[in-house]
Amino acid sequence: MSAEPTAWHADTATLSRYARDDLAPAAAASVEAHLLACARCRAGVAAAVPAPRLDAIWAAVAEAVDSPRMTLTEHLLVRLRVPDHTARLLAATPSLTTAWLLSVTVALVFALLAAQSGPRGVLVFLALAPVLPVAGVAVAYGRDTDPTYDVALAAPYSAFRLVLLRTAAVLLTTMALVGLAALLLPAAPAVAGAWLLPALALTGTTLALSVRVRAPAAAGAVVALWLGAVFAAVGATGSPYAAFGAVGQTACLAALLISIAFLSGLHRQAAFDLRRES
Amino acid sequence: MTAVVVDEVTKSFGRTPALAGVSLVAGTGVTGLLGPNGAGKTTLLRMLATVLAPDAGRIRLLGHDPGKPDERLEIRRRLGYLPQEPGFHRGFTAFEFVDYVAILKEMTDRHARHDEVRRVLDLVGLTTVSGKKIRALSGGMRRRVGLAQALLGEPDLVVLDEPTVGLDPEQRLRFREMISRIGEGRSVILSTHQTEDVAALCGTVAVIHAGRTVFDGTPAQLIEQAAGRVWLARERSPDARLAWRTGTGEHRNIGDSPPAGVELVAPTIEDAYLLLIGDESVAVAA
Repeated sequence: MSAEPTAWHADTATLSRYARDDLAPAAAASVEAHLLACARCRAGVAAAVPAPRLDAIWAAVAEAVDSPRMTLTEHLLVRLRVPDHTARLLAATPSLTTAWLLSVTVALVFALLAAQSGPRGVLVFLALAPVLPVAGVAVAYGRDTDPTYDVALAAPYSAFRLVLLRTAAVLLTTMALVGLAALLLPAAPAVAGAWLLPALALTGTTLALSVRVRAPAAAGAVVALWLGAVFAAVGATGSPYAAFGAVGQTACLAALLISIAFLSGLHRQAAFDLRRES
Repeated sequence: MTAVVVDEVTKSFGRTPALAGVSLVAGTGVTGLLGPNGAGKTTLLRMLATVLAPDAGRIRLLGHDPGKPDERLEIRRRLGYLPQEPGFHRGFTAFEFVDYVAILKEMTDRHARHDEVRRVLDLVGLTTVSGKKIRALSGGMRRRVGLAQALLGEPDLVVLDEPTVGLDPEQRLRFREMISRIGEGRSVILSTHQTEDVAALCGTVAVIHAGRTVFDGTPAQLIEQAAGRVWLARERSPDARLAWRTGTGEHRNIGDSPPAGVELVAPTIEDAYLLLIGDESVAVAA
């Protein structure tokens, strides 16, 4: 090199001690200042650093640069001791996004406003409350809403397991929101909690039906049946809470248990592993 | 062991038959599926990717029966699949998307998984854009992201549904190079409209038409089928099934019975394909 910027060079022993972090602070600072200006000594340090250490440093840099950033949902889940890979699978759920939870909240606000008008309004809230988790579960997974559906199916991860995971997460979040709203209902606690069992029953039935048909179709059928039954019961008895009495709750419990029994069949769980064509 | 055995497979959607008895055997190397739109290629590839079950017939992949859940799992552990239109989650970066698929491929250890994600992104030449959102990438780059996830875990069977569609000529050549490299030592099955892709890449080729296998062999054998059926002449021959005026002013005629005395020329794989498929493909190509 013709134009050496510095007149002196650090000796090999000094450079290798610097690389091992084995110099006194003052000496290390001096070598460091020199290194910034001297390419020849930088090359000397590079040669003194063991390759495995360089690789490790490089890997750590790469990891810091392109490692996925965790979403709010993921942070929350990891804090709840959910493994980070499971949290990632949940964070991609369409019905766990802020936008979705916001729409659920808006729906609940309107239902609460309606409920102020009296028992008929409370009925609107009670009829709507179980529909919200069903809608969330219907879009949580499947070829209609999950853009990676085909790729996910062909992967070894069990589709049924993914469905259950996402269903559980959607149920927890949506039902927590509904529960908070129900506290503000102008009704007795027994009435305000009457949506709970129907919500679970409708969700269970939707999952059971989606063994055979696509989830949105299953959810649509279940919701239509539910709303039909609620308003038919009002028409038949004249009492707004007719569908939420002992008979209604027992029917919901039965539907939930039948759904669970149905879904516990291994070949039915395996049906989720194949593409829904109907 | 033969990687892929498909025997008389049928599939209908409602009343519409998609596959009407397809048979296919594929071993190590790249196998191409050719056929017009709607021939059933995607349906067949979905079956090879284990996500769709046939109505009838027999499929064996990597020595396993995809109809049995436990064997299907074994296949999926050794499978890579690029669907025709791979979707991506909004807002995922290239790295995050491939990482997501890696989780579905049972890679739970974070460090090992991220190393593998970096490896496949490097294979398809996307290292520099791995941190970019997928929606900000070009069509060709998205295809490569799709290919990258199909290569996770070094699968023994790679199923690619139209991997070169929508790519410009240079990107297609790069893709060819990548796919030929992937095909060394494992089985790659790909579908395409591009006869040149098949001639350039594939050791074996199957032509699917109206839900049936109408040809199964090497590209050379396919070309051989058109020997003596392509000729140059001053005029468009009335006997030709298809004829066009070439840049030199002569007409290239393709048909079953060339008139006596004409100059026969060496056929291309495209000529053979057109003769095999008949007039419908001509209508599609026109």
